[in-house]
Amino acid sequence: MPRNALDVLVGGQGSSRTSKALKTIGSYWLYATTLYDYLRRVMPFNAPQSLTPDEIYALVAWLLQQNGIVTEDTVLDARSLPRIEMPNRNGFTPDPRPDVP
Amino acid sequence: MSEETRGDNETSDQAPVSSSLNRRQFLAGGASLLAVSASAALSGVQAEERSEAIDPMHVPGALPRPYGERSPFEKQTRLAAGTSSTTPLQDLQGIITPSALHFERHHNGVPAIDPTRHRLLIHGLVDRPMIFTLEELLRFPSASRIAFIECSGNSRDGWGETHDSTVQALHGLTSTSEWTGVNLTTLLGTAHMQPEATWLLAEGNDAAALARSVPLTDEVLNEAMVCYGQNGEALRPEQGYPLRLLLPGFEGNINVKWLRRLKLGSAPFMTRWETAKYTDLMPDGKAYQFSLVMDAKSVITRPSGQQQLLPDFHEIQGLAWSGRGRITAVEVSVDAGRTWQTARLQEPVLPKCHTRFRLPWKWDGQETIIQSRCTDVTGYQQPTRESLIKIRGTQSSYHYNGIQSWKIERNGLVKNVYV
Repeated sequence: MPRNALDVLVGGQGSSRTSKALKTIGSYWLYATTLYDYLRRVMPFNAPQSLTPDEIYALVAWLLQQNGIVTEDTVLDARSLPRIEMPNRNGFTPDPRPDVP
Repeated sequence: MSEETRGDNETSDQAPVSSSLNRRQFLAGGASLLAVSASAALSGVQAEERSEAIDPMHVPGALPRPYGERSPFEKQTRLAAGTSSTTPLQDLQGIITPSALHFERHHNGVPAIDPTRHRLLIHGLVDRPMIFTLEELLRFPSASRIAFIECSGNSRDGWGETHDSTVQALHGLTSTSEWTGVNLTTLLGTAHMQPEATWLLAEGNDAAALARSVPLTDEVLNEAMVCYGQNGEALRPEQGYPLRLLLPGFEGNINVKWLRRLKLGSAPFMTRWETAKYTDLMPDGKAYQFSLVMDAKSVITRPSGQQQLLPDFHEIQGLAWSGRGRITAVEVSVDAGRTWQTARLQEPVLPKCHTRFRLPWKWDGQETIIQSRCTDVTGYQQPTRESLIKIRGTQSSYHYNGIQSWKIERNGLVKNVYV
């Protein structure tokens, strides 16, 4: 990926073992709650923290739906969001370094 | 000024310059430089009217001024690219990075913060949640240390195809400053941290509300600082004014700038910056998470990419650093890695700090490749690019610390290459 290229948000599932890994919400993110937290902190980029919680849940739901993780009629809130199982939930390992002989 | 002239200038006190031509060039160049520097320091119209030929010994110099600037002849700058800018490592002296040249990386711009309105909140698993003003923090016992901060994305081009570049563009997301502030444990003690607290969320007051989880290991509790000072004055806005976290040896991003909140918890908070970003994807599809310490790295800064050499004496210089402690050795190869010579470490040599190394060298005008590799106090030796990629593949984005190779072409041009 070129330096400072904008992140791709959708797709990339199955690419993480290739030499062209595409790290998206659907292929890489561990937790759906991280998405809510990030959107709440910094979006929209030119007016951070101006969205209501309902608007943020709606955005999270749309992004997860685009990634095939929830269906179109899913309603997200503080109770349902933490229950979502992300595809790459088990894709991380604690720092094992030193790893290079 | 050419690389050749610079080299002579800095090393003339300790090594003979064998070429009389170069000596003459240096003296001639030096004389004209002296002639203009003082007159240019005069202000405004007066300075413009001065001829470059005026001898500064024949005119009064500039008067005192409230805040100093470097000589107008010094042109080194950061190199900005998007949301970061790099330190001109090739132009630095010693180990301290001037605050104005400290690298930048921010995630939604540099905030403009009025220090009188700024607060630091400490809450979560504490018996006494506290809010501090800056003035209150300044009344705590202060601490100071010299430490590097390196973005974990520094040198990331090393994961990809080689391309012609400079040491600044390739490796300039690292800088060293003297940092001053309050020991984190002092503040945590004041807030009566509870024993079950094992992680800390640090949050910035910028338009990214950047937040990172910090493990409360012995190392962190012994060394972390909440800093308000950088190189003898207040932090620069780009480095977190008025308050930042310092975790010596840890990747830059977790040294949270514009620090406004510390929340104690019993598990990591899993922000975007420790899940989607700053994690290292391995060839088997798994990613390292919380790989926070910056491993040992060194680079030759002179001669380095896109500089031009003349066949003659040069002092090879570079920087080495390790997030795990002191640099104990740097070796330099001037024959593409066939043989290695021990470089001299220039004092001061401090733990988790840029360390300058030097090796005298006479370039014979033949094509060659020069490299450096360092060892830190744990015995860890900087790996070759080949051995690094053999384990980690090419998709991990962060924490690249392979040996840098510079090819010197017959025409004296220095190129970034892989061996």
